[in-house]
Amino acid sequence: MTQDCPTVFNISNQAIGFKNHPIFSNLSLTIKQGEKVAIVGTSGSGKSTLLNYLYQCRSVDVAYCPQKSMLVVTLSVYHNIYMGILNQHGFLYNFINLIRPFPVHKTRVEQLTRRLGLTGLLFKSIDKLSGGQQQRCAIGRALYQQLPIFIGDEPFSGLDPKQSVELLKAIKDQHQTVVVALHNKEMALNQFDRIIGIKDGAIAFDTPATEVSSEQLDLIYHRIEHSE
Amino acid sequence: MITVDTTARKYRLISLFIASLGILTLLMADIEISATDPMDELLAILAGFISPDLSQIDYLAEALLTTVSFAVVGISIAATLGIFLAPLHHLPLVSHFCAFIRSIHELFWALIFLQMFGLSSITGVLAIAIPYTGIFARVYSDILEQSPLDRRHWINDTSLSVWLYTCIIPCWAAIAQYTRYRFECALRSAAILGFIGLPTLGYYLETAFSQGQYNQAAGLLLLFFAMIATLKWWLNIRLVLVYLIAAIVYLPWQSQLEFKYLVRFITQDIVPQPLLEPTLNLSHLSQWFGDLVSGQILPGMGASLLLSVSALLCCGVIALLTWPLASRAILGRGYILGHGLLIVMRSTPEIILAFVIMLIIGPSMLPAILALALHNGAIIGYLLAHRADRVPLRVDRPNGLNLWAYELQPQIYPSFISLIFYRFEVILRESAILGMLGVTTLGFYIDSAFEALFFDVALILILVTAALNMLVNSISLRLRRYLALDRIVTA
Repeated sequence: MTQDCPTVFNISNQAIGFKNHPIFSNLSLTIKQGEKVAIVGTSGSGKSTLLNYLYQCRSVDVAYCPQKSMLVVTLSVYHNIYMGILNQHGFLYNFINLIRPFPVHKTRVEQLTRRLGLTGLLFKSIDKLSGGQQQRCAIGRALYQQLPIFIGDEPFSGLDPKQSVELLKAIKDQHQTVVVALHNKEMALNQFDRIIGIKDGAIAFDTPATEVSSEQLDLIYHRIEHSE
Repeated sequence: MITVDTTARKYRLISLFIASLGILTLLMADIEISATDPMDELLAILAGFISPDLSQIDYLAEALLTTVSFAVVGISIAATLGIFLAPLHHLPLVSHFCAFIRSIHELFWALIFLQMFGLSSITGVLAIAIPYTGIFARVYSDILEQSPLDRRHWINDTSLSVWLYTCIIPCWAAIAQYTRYRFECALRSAAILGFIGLPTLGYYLETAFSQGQYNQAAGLLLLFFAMIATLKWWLNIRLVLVYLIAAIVYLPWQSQLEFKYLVRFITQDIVPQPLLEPTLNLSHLSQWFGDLVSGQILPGMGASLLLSVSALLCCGVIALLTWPLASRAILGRGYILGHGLLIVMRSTPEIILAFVIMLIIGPSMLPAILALALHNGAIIGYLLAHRADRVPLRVDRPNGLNLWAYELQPQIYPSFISLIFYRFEVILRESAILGMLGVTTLGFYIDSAFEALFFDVALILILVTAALNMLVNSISLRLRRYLALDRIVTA
């Protein structure tokens, strides 16, 4: 079905990483509009570097959710979610909103927090939330941008499987293209239509989720179980 | 109804409280511009900076060497005593003693020793060594406390080598770094000792400024900045001993000290006069003391607090406005300009800054407020910029003003409030000595008492100043703990 869709990412023979120390020495990868891609690999294999690169390729229409939520802990859930759309407004507008939130955004962000399971926490600061709540707020910041592509670097770490699936559904509903780095094997197999395995700075396998062999996954997940 | 429960809100309330207090004191303070043409004076001073001139000053090399020598000898004594006092700092007696000696400003110590030793090197060295000993003892003890090794090792085993190996060596880097920073402060202290007549840079600076020789004044000030800016090249830790010996050899140590004057100073001059009367007259004593309280102590304390709180507000505003100028995250390469500006602002001692501003706008409380605010605001601004550039940022971070408003300012605000509380103690301590320029803080009354040779009054006023500083320090410490400021800063 995605066969005829336009390409969103097209990388060919690219070196990615630090200038003198590329993590991927020669990477080729194509992602089409509408694809739901899971990226799996051990920690340190280069997943974050790849996602980072993909984000830089089209920062204008990518909603990004980094590893570790990296929110502003003294500010409220509302402001952290609103931060997703700072670039869509002038500074003065943003500044006024910092001091006195605009009702229109307040209503929208409040609806979003309800979907995220953060009801009633709209004006609580991040440092007063649990790790899981912070994670959901970080996803909220990405969702609020209403962009066509979602890129997440382990956005569900620290959340239980049921919550993760619900949040992933919300992400998939809102974004045409989804690229997510994952540790969760079940989730990768059941919720995505393409899995890319990364090992030692190269793509180890890149297959539809239905065709992934257990040897392929073992290649990656054995190492994960050992490393964790 | 959604309840607002953010850490930002807590900081907003603290800030509003400080701001309203500051505005209230500013309204009460005398902040008029009394000079008839401040622009002319400002232009004359700026013209001086365009063509600085050092050729007309005799004894320039001597002034420079004396300034450095006072700092070297004073810091050496203070650091040595400090390192021995640090392990004992947990004893209340020691910690209170250290708090007491550091709560009296270098200039006041100098005024006291001036009566005993005259304009001698002993006066200059002791005036620096004593308060810095109190500072070193406290900070070294803080550093040792954070040592990875267990304190108990050296509390039970008091042998010197155990103490050296388990405490000093692991913390050496931190101790050396702090001592180096304090050496820079001591250079400033040594320079301003010239304001009471010791032959350091400040003496010539004050003379040049009061005589309107702005070319010379500018030259001296630039020389002073150059000395501090080049510190990292000439202050080598391995050369400390060489510097120390050179300084001791260089300084003239003879003083006009006569033993009977010293005895007279201690047994008679500084004893409240009514106590020296042949028959103790209690009503006379209480009246003498009552007059002192109502005529000098209360108005002096009031003015000191008024000045400090006003200066604190202005200092906070300056810090908040200037740190983005020195932040690489916000300005990119342009940060270097703001960085330089803040270094110059913080390198100028408050009393010199106040003196210059007073020349421009005339005498009132305003020069003192501005001087304290500029100097301390620059220090806080510098530290905030440093901290802001270490805030980890996301790849999809906003830019420019949005980055400032939403990411950096909220993340460094806890540090800002914590620094403001700490700086209030410093401002209060400095506000006293600005009295020597005519602002009626406690320092004004102390200076006048010394001039009129009322040493008993001067001593009581110095003790009151010290007590006020210690009281404010302990309130500020409790307040910081209560607001859990330090905890959040590290979170």
